[in-house]
Amino acid sequence: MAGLALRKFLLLIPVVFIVSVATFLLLNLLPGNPVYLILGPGATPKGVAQLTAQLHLNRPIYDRYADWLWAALHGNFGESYLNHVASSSLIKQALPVTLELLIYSQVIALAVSVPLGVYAARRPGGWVDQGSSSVAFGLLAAPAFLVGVLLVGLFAVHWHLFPATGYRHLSSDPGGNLRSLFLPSVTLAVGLLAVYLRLLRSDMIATLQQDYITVARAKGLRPRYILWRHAFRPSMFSLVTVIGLNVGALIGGAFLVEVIFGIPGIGSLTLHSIYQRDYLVVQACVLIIAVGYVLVNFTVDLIYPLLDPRVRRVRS
Amino acid sequence: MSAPELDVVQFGGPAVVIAQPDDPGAEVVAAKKRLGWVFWLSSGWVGLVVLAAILSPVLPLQDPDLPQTMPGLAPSGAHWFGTDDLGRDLFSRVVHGAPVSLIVGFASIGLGLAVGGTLGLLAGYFRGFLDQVVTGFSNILLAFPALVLGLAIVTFWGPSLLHVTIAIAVLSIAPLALVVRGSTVIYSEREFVAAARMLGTSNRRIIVRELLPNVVPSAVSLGLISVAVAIVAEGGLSFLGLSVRPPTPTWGNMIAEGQAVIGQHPLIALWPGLAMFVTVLALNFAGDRLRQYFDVKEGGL
Repeated sequence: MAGLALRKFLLLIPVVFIVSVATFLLLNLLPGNPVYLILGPGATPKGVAQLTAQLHLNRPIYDRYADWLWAALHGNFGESYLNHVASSSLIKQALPVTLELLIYSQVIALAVSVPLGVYAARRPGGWVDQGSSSVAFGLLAAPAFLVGVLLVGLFAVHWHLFPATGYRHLSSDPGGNLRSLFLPSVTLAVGLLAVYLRLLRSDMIATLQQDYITVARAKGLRPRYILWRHAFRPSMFSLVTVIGLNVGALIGGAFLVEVIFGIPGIGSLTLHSIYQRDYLVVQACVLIIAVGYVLVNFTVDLIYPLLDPRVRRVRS
Repeated sequence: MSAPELDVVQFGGPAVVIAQPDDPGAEVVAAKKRLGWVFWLSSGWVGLVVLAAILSPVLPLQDPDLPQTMPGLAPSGAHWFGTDDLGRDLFSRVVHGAPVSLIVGFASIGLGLAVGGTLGLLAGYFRGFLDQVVTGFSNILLAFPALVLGLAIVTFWGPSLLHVTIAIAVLSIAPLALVVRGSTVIYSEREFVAAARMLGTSNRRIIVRELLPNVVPSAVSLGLISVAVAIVAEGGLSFLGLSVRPPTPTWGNMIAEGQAVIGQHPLIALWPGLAMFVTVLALNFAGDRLRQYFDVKEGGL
């Protein structure tokens, strides 16, 4: 088990390396000189020369990459040219907010989709199954920015139940924190729960047709006990994978929701830095988001053996 | 990275579905034979939207950019969807917003399929080094936050129809290549390909005459679902003001305009939202139905 984890971890190193090269190249090979983009109409020859030297743009690209990577490995991602705050401290403020949003949204999505999916699989074709499947298919077609805007319209502007925008810190105002994150979490959860429901339902149906379930039924175990104790755990594979993929993808993919609700997460930070052409911060954010995605996937791979002993044998 | 392993796990276990009279498997078998009315309804809607988008310049609609009458009117005979906060006709604006969504949706996925599909086909047939390069790069590309990348490209190049299309096309290459590769691998191992090879058929001919016709149906159904994803992506960029800019109406920028006045005039965001929702739903339905019809392995997306 430990050997397996170590081998997988070693495989991560080349992946993270290529990710870092791609991040660096992407923003450095984009057309347009960042110096002129940053300085805009106020560019003077002196200012251009100064900023070029400050950003080390007069040096060859592989040199700059090496410097950037070396500094990044030490937790130094360069500083914002706007206010000279270190990118790492900007990320340190933003990342927990996004993670909190992700956890809330996953909890909401699972709390709705798991009971519904299990129940739908128990009677495939029944009204719970058909109803939830149709609603899920509909939810899949609803873009997050549309759901977000409509939820704001209904719950914040019309009924004044939740704040429309803004974020309260968990430490200073726990109740306000939950309230300020409720609508954005629901917005994210709407898209997720449709996917989770469909996955869990089809996997549960497959599991319930296996022989050991028939044996359990023949032994006279209670249906609910069979459903949750025997069938649920082996049906969680695809679900766990997709939760992992979603958490990874949403680190950077929740930015529309963060923007709509004014949540200062890493998505908003990236977006504002892109607007401001603050490209060292953008680079840092994209790197963190991409590495985060890779790490989450790695963790998910480690969870499989805990879920199903059969994988433990096959892999090792 | 974990998806192929998941497949092995599932296919290694006895996950055979035995058709019983009351199980959904039987239903699926029956449903496979015909596309069903929902498919035709969905295709009809997509066709209608395409037609409206093509004809929007010549349709007898009010000018979408000019205030016509009192702002914030409720739907009526003269203004089917009502008017927005500037008094512009909302029905006309929704119709005129369709071309941008559709052009970006179909053009970007067309481009993505042309590049990604070709790469996937070659990688799936030749395997070996090429396959490793294509799959490796696709997997790494997938690790990047897609829409953030699109945003970066569009911001640095400047927002325009062409740039948005290219950005979304680039992002669609990796997932499309992986799926096409997957079905190519399955078909490459079939007897008819082995037979063709033994008869001395050239690789080029095998790919074009034997593999391509088999891969196209699944690529088309996947393509339809991807067009829906692309339309949502364009809507997101448009919502942020990073696609075609106002005053040209797009569904995304109309929703953004409606967001500011959602309290007083909820219809402004609702109509373009509904148009996008129904179109995306129809594309999803049509693609999903086609996939079942052509009996492609579930879980390809």
